[in-house]
Amino acid sequence: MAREIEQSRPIPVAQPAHRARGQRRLRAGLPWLHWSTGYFYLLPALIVYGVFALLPMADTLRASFTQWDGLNPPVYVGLDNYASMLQDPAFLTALAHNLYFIIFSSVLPILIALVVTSLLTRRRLPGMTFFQTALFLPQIIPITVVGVVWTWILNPAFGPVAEILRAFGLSSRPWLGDFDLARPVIGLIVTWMTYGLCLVLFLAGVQRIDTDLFDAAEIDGANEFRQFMVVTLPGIRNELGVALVITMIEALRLFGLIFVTTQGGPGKETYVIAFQLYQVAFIETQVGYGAAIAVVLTLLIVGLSSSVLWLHRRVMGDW
Amino acid sequence: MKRFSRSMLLFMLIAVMACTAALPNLKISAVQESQKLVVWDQETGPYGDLFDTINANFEKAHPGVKIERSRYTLDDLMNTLPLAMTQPDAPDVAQVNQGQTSMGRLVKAGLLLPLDDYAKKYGWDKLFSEGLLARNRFTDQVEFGTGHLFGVSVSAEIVGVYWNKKIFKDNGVEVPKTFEDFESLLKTLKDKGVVPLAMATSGNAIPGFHVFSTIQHLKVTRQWMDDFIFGRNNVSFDIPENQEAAAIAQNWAKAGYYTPGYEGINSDDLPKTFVPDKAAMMLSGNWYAAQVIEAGKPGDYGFFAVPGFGGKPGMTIGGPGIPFGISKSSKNPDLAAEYINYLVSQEVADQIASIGQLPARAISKDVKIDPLLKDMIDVYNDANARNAVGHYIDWAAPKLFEELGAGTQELFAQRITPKEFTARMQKVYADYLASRK
Repeated sequence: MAREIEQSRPIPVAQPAHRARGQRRLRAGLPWLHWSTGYFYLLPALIVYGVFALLPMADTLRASFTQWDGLNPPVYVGLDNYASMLQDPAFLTALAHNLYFIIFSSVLPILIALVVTSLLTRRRLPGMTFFQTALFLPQIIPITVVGVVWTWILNPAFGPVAEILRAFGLSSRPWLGDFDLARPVIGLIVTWMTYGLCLVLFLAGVQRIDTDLFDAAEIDGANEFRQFMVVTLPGIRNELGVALVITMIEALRLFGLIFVTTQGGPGKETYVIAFQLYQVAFIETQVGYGAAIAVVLTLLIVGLSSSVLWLHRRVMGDW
Repeated sequence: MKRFSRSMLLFMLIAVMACTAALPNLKISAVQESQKLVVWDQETGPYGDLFDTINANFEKAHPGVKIERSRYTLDDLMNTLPLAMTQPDAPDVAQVNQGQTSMGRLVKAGLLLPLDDYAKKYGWDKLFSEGLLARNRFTDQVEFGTGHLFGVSVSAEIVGVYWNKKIFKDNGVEVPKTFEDFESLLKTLKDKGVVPLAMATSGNAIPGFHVFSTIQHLKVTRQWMDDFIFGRNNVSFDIPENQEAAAIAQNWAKAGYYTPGYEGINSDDLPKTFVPDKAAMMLSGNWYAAQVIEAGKPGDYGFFAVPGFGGKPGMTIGGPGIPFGISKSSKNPDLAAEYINYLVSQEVADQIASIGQLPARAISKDVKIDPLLKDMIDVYNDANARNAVGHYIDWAAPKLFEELGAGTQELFAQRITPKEFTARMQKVYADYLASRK
């Protein structure tokens, strides 16, 4: 036993030396191998990502400087597409609507989810998993189905909403076709789609909070509201940031729901950037202008999400 | 830096190898290529199914010929075809939508074969009126409506009024003979508590602008309509005739002649606001014929063209269906032309009519068809004989479809005046013409 230890003692010293020698030899042969080993593992995914995401993105950027019908040779026009976008009332209307929808896709769902979270924090309801699944469902249902189902529900002639109103002697409004109501109604559908995601995120976050903190706060005399403010809210600040970013992106890239329900109507009441992009690029075949809109939309999404993350870090502390 | 470039080199090498390795699989075997006909169409439903029979019959009549058919939806076809046509294995025959953004784009890129010689050989130029063929014509400078023929339509479309015979009988009213009669018919039905005209304008608002355009067709001249569609002679949309038509369509909305709540009903659901017995009439195209026929017994519904002012016959919206063209790179253009000629044969026309579709040519007398379809064929033939088959006005500029939809919604909601409506459409049209110069 003693001999073994004695023998084994030099080994820890010798091993690194040995490894270092080997390494040096390997490096001498293939000096770049060490540095790039990680990239070898990335390679398969990188190729797929490059071919199907990075190259098309670069291509879109290139197309945005041209006038192009998608088939015949493109004509280079510099920044013309971007300049005309600033004077395009349709684009500016769409942009305003996208920003408007942030209220319904981020602010409202997060508020609702926070209220529900605060109610559920300290009580375990039976069937909690079922509720979480059910509330998350709107996120999983394909957007086309969501759109079609809501057009049926809101149909003023034979939809259930109209039936219920009629049962109370009220007449139905033409919800999705009403110039005053269409935008908020679409907004509420977006809220319905996103609040489940926020709730699931927040509930998961709450479960990670040490229950001792709640007990300590309670002993210090904090009521439920105070507990929520000092324990729950800081505890789920990371989830809050994630929810904010995801739901804001949702508002900016809104397309499927509009496409299936209102096509931007009535008039231009629900017109959004992604829908304009589709119309311009694929219906009017102005691919260059469409690409420019896509680039601006991408920059908007990246810009807004990074500023949210930056603000979040400033206000809420590090992740 | 050196390290970086060497690893990049390796990366690129592997990427190139991966790409070239995949290449051989892209090539389709060249066996019997001379006898293969690749056909892309966008016909769906029972009519789409009929094309399988049609193709099988063509193969039977031409031993050794194999038709490889791909079926698309219109949107898919319009998005896929332009790029597919540039490939070496482009379809020989494909349906190409009319207008500058679809057919015009392919003509400009030199991807479609001019069919003038085949038209002469097979007599297509005699079978169809020049007014209908013009819609499939482009010059070498890609001017629309004249020049070489690039497509032949197999089916036709007509927009008119579907009417519920039972509702008409119950309310003691008859099919109108003049536009004035038609307007008083709407009022009578409304007063009797019947929904006069089915309507749905949420989504794309096609049913709405068809009402406007139907009235417009009764007011403008043939010359104006053709000039407007083909972008000739600098005609304006903002003219009194169009303003009057817009005013009438707007007044009908105000008078409550349309389905209550139509603003919130998706335009795809239009037939549901007409059958069963939901409204006395529905102004739309023949594409809903099968759906309407299915909803009742044969003879429950009829079809008429909105009569002209003072009974003077006018134009009716309609035209040839989406035409079939031949790609320039086709290795079998003669066979492809023979296939198209079979599609416009009497035999196929009768088959098309027998399943409730409107063929582009007259049908044999002995074909058994539903009374509703017979009405449609009569309306179409009458208009065709008078050179009065009009146009879908959204063809005139790519943005018009969207703008007509939004504009109609605002017009019906009394948010813009008829004059504002026509002025806005004129701006869209003028902007487009200017962009083409």
